[in-house]
Amino acid sequence: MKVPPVVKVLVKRALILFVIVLIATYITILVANVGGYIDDLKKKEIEFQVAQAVQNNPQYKDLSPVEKTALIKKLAQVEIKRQGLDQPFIIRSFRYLWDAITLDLGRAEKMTSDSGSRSVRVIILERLPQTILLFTTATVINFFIGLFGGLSLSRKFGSFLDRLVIYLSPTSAIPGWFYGIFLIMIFYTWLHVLPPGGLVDYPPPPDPVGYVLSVLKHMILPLLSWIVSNFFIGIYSNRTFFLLYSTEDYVEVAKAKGLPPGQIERRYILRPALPPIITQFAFAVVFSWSGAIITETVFNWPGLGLAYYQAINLVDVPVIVGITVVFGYLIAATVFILEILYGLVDPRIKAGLGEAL
Amino acid sequence: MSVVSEELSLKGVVKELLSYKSAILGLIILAGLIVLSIYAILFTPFAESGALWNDQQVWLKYPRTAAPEWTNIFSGKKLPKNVYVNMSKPVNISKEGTRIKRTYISEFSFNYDDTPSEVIFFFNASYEKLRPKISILWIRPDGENLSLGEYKIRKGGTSIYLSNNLRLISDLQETIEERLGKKVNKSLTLEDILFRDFRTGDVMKGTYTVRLDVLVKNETDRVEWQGIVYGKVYGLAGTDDKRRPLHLGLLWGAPIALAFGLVASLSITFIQLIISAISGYYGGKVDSVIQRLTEIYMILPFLPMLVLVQLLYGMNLWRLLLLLIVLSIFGTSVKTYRVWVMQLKSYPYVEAAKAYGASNMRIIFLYILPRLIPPTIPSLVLAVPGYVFLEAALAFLGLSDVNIVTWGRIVEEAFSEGALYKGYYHWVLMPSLMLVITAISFALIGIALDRIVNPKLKEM
Repeated sequence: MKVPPVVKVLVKRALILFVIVLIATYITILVANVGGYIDDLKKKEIEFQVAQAVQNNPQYKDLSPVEKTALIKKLAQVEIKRQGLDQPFIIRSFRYLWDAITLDLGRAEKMTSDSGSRSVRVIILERLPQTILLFTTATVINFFIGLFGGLSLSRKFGSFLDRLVIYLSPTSAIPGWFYGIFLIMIFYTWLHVLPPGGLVDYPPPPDPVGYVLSVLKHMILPLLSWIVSNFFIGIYSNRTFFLLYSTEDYVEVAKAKGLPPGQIERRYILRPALPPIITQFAFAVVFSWSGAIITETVFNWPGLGLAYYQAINLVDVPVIVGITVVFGYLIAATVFILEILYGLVDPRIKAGLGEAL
Repeated sequence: MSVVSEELSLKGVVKELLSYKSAILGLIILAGLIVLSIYAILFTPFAESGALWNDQQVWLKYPRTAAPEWTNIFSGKKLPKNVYVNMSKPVNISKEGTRIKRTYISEFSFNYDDTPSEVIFFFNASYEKLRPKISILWIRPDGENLSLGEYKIRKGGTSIYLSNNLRLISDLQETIEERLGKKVNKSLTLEDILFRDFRTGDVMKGTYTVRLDVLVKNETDRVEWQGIVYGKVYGLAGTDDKRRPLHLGLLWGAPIALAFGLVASLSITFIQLIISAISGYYGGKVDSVIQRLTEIYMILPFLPMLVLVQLLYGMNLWRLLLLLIVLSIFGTSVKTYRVWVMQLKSYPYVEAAKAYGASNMRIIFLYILPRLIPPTIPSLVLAVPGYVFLEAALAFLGLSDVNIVTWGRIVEEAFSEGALYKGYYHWVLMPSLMLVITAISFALIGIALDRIVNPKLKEM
């Protein structure tokens, strides 16, 4: 069976990415464990489980509390040894890596999921959709504003609008979450037209349509904060980018041939600019994951970022490590999707020349 | 697009920079910030700023959440400033039983359109046996006398917070209702009672008098006192809920923001340049190791890692800076710079240097790096706001260094104390304004520099 070259390249990239994720996760574990936190956590978890088992076991119900404590200690020691926690760190670190890779993220110390679970995995999976919803939407909107704004501005190069965008581009030095504070001030404190934060109204509307509308209403300000922050620089950089591409010789040739402007734009400017545009989009998505932490905190948006913030305040290390690992996965997944898209748009990769990049 | 080919002199860049109006504006703001920073370091107790900021006792005599004084211009209402009722010589000393009574009378004029925010009397006593007893009588411009109660003073400092003495307030309200002969329908605050006309409800302007009687046992017992009628506006930037004057916080935050942003940006750019120079110049195995490292770094979740380390090892601004540098040295810019190095490597003058036997280090540091610096300067300048806001973002997550005052920390405190919902706009706006103008100044300069060193952009 003949494997198409594009699949070969993708499989290879996926493997490399997987190794990179392994190393990145391992670094996270090393960082988190230098203070001995994970060890303490694991031991505490074992003691908790053993204590539960002893309390619930009818066989031990006649023991005095002192005897019970002694028994719990003894059984916990056995369990710690069985799980290899008395082994040197190097060996254990690989076990933690395996746990992280298989998403066996352990139990939260203090946080619970909305359904009441203490499992870090459940907490994360419950919060993840909200983060993806908000920040993917924000990134997509920003991407298209930049793309179409830049394209139309590059046609009107030198106009008043063009200069206005250039002059206003420094406003993007201010991050979205910071604009968020002002937006709350204007639209909530002052005008009272939009909610300052949260996912839905309280109590949540019972019918699905009302629920969706309520969520949309709560999304307006966080989305707006990111759009405002990115608006001018997005348009400005895309405009400059398209202008650079439109000075290429082959564009001049196309113009000389008398092709209609629309066709020149599509075939000779947009098409070759596509790979870098996609890269730019992927980086924006990657960046949005990190930005989520602080923006969700400002808007009290119940996503992964807010969970991270809550975990910080509760010093709930398993949740923090778990979310850090999941952020790593998200970034890796984004990079992998980028590779696939590259494979689709870049003829060199289609031809199996991926190594050239 | 060969960026490194353009030969640029520093003098030429500065000259061209000054031809951009936006850059001049940016430079003026930056110069202002630098002057502020120098002033903060030289003329304020900057070294102890963190300790002072955390010490609530220091700020007792400032009003709580007061707006900046200049807001009076916009509101059209003259909000009160702090008024001090100071001790003078006793007007009368008499005997009352076995005790000595000293009577003080102090006057102050109050000509504002709103009631003050608080009234507090401070005492400092030294005595032998019996605690001195004081009683305060408040005489309003309309001649109305109100007794503000009797208090016993402890050794050392005593503060009498009249505004949250609920018993006193309800007693006073009863007194007023008796004199008016009718019920007042709402519960009044102490400031309403002391400063408003009972009938019209307007704030009374004029001369107020405080009579203070101090009863002591011995001739040598001493009681010093001061009354403060707290205002609703203070200084250039107002105060926060812990009475701290914000202008000091803004002043102390300036050198830290500038130093943090510039040091982070400079060191990250230069380390990245060196790494890319080594990667691009040597090529081969060194290159591929460095390139794989940049890919690993791309996957490392940057902000969560920063947060994780800060949390586990304790928050410290300079550790944050170090960590930031460590987490950024293999950033994506390394890939861009490396391409430039590879272009430069094939230039004749580098070939010539190789031919006369220059060492690799000499070529990298003396022939390649200097040529790379000009094109990286715009991005270096443009990156500064990002780092300043990064500190603010971490502060916002509750990870701020308690030993220093930063703008981010002030914004975070305002936000978490609900300044936005309670209407203390100045508390959020003033530090935000500092962050914003700092960011804008660097962005203005950076964008202009970008057009200068990338001449292709200039035509556009």
